[in-house]
Amino acid sequence: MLRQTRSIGAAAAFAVLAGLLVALSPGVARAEPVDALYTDQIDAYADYDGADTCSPSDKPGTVALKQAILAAYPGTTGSISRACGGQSEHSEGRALDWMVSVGSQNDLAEDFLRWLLAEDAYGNDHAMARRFGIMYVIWNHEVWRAYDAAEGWQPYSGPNPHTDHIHLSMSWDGALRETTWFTGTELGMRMDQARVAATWRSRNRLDVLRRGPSGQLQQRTWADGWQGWVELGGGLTSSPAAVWAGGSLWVFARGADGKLHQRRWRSSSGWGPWQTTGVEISAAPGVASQNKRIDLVVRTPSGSVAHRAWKPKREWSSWRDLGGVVTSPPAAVWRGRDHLDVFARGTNGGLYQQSKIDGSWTGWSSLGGSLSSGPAATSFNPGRVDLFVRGASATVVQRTDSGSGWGSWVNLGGRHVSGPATASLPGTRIDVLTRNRGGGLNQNTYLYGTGWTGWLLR
Amino acid sequence: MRSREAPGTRRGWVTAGLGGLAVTGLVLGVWFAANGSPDPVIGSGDARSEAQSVAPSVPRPEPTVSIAAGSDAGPASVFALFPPGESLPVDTSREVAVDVAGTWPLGACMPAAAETGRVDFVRGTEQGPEYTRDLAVGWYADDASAASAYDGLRAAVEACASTTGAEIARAPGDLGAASELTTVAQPAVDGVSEVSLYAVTRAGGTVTLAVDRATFQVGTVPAPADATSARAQAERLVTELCQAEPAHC
Repeated sequence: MLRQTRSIGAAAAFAVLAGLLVALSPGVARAEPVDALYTDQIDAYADYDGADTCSPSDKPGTVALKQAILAAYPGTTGSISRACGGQSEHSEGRALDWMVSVGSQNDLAEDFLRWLLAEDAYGNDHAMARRFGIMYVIWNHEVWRAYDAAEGWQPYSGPNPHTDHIHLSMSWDGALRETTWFTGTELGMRMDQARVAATWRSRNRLDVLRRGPSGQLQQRTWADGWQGWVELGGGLTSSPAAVWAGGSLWVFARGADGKLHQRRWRSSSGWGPWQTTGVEISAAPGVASQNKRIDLVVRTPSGSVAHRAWKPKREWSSWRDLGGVVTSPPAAVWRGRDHLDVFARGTNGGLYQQSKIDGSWTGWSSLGGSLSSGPAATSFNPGRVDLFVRGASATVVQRTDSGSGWGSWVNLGGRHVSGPATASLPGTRIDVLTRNRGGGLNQNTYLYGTGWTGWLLR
Repeated sequence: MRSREAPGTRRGWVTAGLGGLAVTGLVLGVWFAANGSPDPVIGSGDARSEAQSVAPSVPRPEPTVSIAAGSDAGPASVFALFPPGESLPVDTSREVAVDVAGTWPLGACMPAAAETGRVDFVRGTEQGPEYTRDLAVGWYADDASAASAYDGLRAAVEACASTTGAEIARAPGDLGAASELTTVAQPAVDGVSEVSLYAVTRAGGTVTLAVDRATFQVGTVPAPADATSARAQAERLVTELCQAEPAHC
């Protein structure tokens, strides 16, 4: 059942955070993918609030910070609580020693610190340190103090040079999960908030859409080469879903009012206005098309999945609640004339499927796995479905049902800061797109007869 | 062997000490008038609420100095145990106490053996993020008394280490007439060891002690010769003493 093991779902959420850090690690110029997930509201710099009690139990915010870092940098270790004595937030369970050596792991340390102290898209300095409630950081003979941030890194005169670990002390707000890292977004949705949408308009034109840093819709096109991003305005509060159907490019997203909105591009008239459906949704929508028909799936405010369909010259059908409690945007794909599949991540982080076959819904069934994003699905051949998800280690993994049952998970590698999007030209190619740590696109293409190209930066 | 200071030098210390006290009192008085009482010492009362009421970037004032009743104004009262003029961040506090009968800052160790010939003494503590630093200087009536105090201090450090099961490593220093660097690492718990880094020196009739305390991961405890922070403090103290009494250096 989808309602099982919410605690495991919480653990999966931590894995998501971890993956975020992984992906943002090397070569980050700006933390754009993350910034897009927050509003401009941010925590004030943490005041100095030194240890004055003996409470050496790991505090939940510190644990979250540790888990995020360790999952992001596999093979490293960290410790939190320590026996009381001296002046140390370790004795209150709100300090973390992340063990990295300045000699052999300086690149990891520098990557993490660059991410932690970067300015976000809203112009907030040291954004992630503030969102986590970091009070001070000690590393390699220097200390960074949130309460003296204007001074930057300053010499550290303590006897331990901190060349074998980074010390991170958290404010009580951070240690108790009261800062915006924990409260600013729905944790399980972070990877999906940054996801792009992709759809083939014709055999030589692929449209990609995404939610920009300030919530605006952005479009990018491949037509024998990648073009730049085009601003299309709007105030989206979810990543978009897009589909090419009936001579139009349809875009769906959650608006600032929390309701499902749609916008349509036609070759004759260009982009039309945003229109609201009046239906509240709690994640990005999913969309599929077949023979000019459009099928929408959304996550309702209660966490269940709902479906509706549109056909030319007809109104939208009424919503049908498909039940369950899911923790990702749902995805939909037609694998055959009378076979629609819907996928979503359950509360235990695993993948779930429900199908409409010959007009009847099957109910949810588990496909297993451990997802750190919602799924994306496409049909390459009649009867076949290819599923893509971001796994627990920030790579993209694939699972295929060629019509005779699901195969095993296949790791396509890479490191990604969003869940995947996919689009295919039946019988020719499958494209998988994610956002990369620099804010651009990762693209991996399956070419019939050739195989996967591997991940390319776009 | 150098002789103990001339009586005139002693009188000079007293004069300088009284003057220094007056200046210190004046400075503290002006500062208190402008700012109220000093910031609370971390660990006393509700640090969380106190910290929230203090502007984050307000530096701390010079160390709080206390002078024991009955002590005369000797060299200790004007000695710059910590670098003067530093503005400390809010996470760092200092306290300095002048008391001819004061004890060496050996933490939980037994006090050093009884001394003879001590004429003045100052000790101070700096607490900062993830460390504690203790500094102390003793002045003695003659070199022999200082040498005895120096030996007693080293013995106390060693005895302390042995009673707590700590690992101790020692190395000779190159400061003053005699010096020794000692690293004492307490038995590790969960891979972490409480470590005290000692630097003891004797320069003429003075003995200095610098102790840095912090936690280190097992395997990263510095060798005495690599315990640069304590050595740097001791070097600075010896330099200060030599500037005040060049004949001893």
